Amino acid sequence: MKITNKFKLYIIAGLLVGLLLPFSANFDVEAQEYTIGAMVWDTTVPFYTNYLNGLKDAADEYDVEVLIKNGQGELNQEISVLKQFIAQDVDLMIVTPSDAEGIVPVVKQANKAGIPVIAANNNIGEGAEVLTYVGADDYRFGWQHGKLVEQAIGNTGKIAYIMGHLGTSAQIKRKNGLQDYLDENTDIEIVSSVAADWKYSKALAATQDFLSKYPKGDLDAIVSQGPEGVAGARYAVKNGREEVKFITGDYPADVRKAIKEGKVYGTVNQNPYPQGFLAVEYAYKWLSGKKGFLVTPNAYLYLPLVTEENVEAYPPAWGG
Amino acid sequence: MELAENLRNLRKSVSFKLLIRRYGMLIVFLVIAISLSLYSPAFRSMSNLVNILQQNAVYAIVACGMLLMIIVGGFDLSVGAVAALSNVTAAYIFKISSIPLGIVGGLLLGVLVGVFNGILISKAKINPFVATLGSSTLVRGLLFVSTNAEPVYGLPSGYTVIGMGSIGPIPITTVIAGLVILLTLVILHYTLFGHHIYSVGGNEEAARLAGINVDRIKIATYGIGGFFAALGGLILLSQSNIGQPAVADGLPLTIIAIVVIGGTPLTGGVGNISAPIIGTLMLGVISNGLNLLNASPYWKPALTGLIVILAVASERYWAQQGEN
Repeated sequence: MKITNKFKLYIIAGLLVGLLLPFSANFDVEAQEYTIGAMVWDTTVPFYTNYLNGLKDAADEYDVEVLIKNGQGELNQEISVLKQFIAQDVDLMIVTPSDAEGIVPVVKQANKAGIPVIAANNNIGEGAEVLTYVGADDYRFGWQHGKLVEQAIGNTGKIAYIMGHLGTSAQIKRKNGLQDYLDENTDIEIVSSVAADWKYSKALAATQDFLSKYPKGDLDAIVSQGPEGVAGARYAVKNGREEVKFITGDYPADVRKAIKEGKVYGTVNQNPYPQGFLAVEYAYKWLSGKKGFLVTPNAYLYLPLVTEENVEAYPPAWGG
Repeated sequence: MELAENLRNLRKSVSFKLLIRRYGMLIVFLVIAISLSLYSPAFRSMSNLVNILQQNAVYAIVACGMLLMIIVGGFDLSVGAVAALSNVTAAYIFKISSIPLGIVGGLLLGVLVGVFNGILISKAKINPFVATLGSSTLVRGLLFVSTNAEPVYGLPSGYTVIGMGSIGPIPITTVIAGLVILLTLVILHYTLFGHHIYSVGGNEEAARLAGINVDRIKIATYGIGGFFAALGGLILLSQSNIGQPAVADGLPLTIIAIVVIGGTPLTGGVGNISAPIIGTLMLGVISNGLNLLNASPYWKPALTGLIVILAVASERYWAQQGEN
């Protein structure tokens, strides 16, 4: 048989693929007692880095196998990951959905298949059976934000609000929590709000626009739902508007630095590491029969307020 | 006597038509800007106008590159990924080496990706949509792999001077945008290369027959586009002072929209420097104006879309009236 060039090319390509395949296989032959499937909303979001570290550290600690799969920020992808877990018949699933309601049908399938489910970082909606929810409550996050605003400017005043991407559950719940706290406990008014999509450049532009709109004395604080408010805080200090207090959300390294420098008044610290760790710890306890160990139906982690006074006591939640 | 009268009338109507055709979008923009400044004292304040220029410098810079790529007959969906690439690479080099080296490194990578795009499009004959979408996904993916999607923190604070500082009353970012606009103008109208960009975009086959090295023109144009996108990424870095792999994710469509709103057809061969300027200012002024007028954040996207459609539609309407 005459070997044509094209045929040679196919052989080479086939060999190359064959060469690469073993690298993707898992050589970990030492079988662990339990296999836990962990689906994470989007592993490329910086926030989840420490969450993943928490999962991995707890997996080592309790010697369980944790399969971490990326939901790529898309509900359809998340569903197919969970279906895969069901097909693999994992012992337990830890689920971090992007949408609490949309994930319910596939979690019900897992229930039917007898696979227990723990929700972590973001909750799963009504109708599905979940052992417990490990994470922070974004509504309480907003509530804590309100406390911090009151602490910064007193019982009355005017604030401007920079929100994250509209429609994300963090944006909606943090806003509701803040609004409710301010309405029930203070006379503080949100005079203007803008959606900056969790982006630094948009948050900076929004801050500039607020400062143009409200001259000195007309605005007491600018609150941002995420860490991106820090760029605006630096701008305000540079342009002689120190009288406006800046309050951010979350606690990465750059926010910590700005608090130390006095540019940001304070932030609400949601640390994702203990969420990941606790989720795997709970999974292990449940599977090994110590079911009473779990706090149900919600295991909320503490959301401390960080200001200049206690900043030294808290290492940054990520980016350290 | 009558003849002279007729001639004068004719000249008058011709110049009016010409005015509308050439400056239609500018007139629409001025109408929006003037009504905003009449209505809102905060809008017309000097510091706000300066802010608008600063907030939109990145868009203007990247849009200049996009203009060239659209004129040559393509466009580039990878400008966001390229901006993120230079953003993160520069941040990383700042940390391990120095600021000048980081800037050079970021810009160089931008040119490299641009040239890669150009080669895919001209040599491998892949259409610009697929080629640049592919390289965008590839670049962004490699960024996520190499950083674990974690931002680069702990940069020297001196670099924020570029994003936050100003020369006299003018922000440094605006000065950079001005220089980029000037450079683009010179390339397009005062160099043989610019002339060739128009020729290739207008009729590729004719350009080839006229002896123009079409592939080389395309590769160089995409290289410049990559350079400007990387420059945009460096300015974003100077505003946040953290290198973010996920930065500028919605950038390509915004930039293409800017160039098109500014009056550039996507067919290639046509366009001039007024497009990125007017398009950028139009979107910037609308966003700033809606913020100052306290528009609800839930309404803002819908209002922005509506205003853009109305602006472009009225410009088209007047231009057609002018032609009839």
